[in-house]
Amino acid sequence: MLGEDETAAIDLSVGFFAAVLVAFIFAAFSAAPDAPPVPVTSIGQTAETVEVLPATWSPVRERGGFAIVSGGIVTMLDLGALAREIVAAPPGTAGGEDGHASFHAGQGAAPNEFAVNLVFTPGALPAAWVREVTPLGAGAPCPGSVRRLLTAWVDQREPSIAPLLSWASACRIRLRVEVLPAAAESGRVSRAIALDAGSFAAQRIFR
Amino acid sequence: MTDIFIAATSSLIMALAVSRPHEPVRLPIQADLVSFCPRAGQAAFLVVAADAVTRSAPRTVAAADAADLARAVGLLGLPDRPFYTIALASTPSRPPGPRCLREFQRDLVDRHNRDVIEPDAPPDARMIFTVTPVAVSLDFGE
Repeated sequence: MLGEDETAAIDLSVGFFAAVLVAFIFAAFSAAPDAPPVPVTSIGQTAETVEVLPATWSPVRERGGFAIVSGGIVTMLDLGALAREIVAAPPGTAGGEDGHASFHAGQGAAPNEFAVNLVFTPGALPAAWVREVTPLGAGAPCPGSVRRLLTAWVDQREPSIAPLLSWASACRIRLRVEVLPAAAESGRVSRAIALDAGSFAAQRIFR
Repeated sequence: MTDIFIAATSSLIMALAVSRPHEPVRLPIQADLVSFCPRAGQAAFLVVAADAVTRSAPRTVAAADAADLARAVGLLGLPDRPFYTIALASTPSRPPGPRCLREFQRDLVDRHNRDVIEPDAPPDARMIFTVTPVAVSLDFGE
């Protein structure tokens, strides 16, 4: 049975031990060098944080769509129609007057490489290729047929890509912007949907 | 006495936790670097660390070629990493044009990523950059 004095002594020793412990903690805190502040999103932020996708070294296992942006208008390509055109025409031959598609497979170093070559005028696409047309601007509607991953080929003569970017972020589309090369004298541009050794070098398949 | 001590300690810790200075940090872009197109008639892109971009006068680096871009990481004090993501944003005086994106991608990012695998590349510049244009318009005191 402990007496009055022993209880007080235990209280005192526990209190003293705790005091020393807290003093150590404070000393350790004040002696630690200031770490660089980690930026965190705060609830005071009015705009939603835009996340930039980091590089990964694995190809995306998801099908995406293709669109052409010219004159402030997004034109989704109907890849099914393109495929039918390719199947109908012999390989390497031109199709219509205003654009053509051709298919090459397994001709390079890798047996699984392929290229669908498209030749077109950015402002005037063949009617069969067009799946959906969306004019950009404030309150532009989200397309119904588009996939979540979209590769947008932007005409060099577009004044700004900002309307395209805000449209894509409003519609939750993961966009990959590729700027078309300058058009030839005929106004035509050639572009390939391809998987080859160059796709890895140009990071085409890493998102 | 133990009761008093514990109550006092906990209230002290709470007071310290509440009075810790943490101002709201705005983070409009989650990336490593934010880059801006050149002004009209100029050639150099502007590179800013992404977590400094909302400060009133962030540290900026002008980058005109791939070597400048690799140097910017060190100059802006970013930690060493194998990959850096770059967001191409805009300011009112630096609008995002398609040609600017193409130039940035081809002449800076892709050039650097190609040079970095060469055997004579400097060992402190062996990082890979990726660039993504973002729909964010910022206005910091340039």
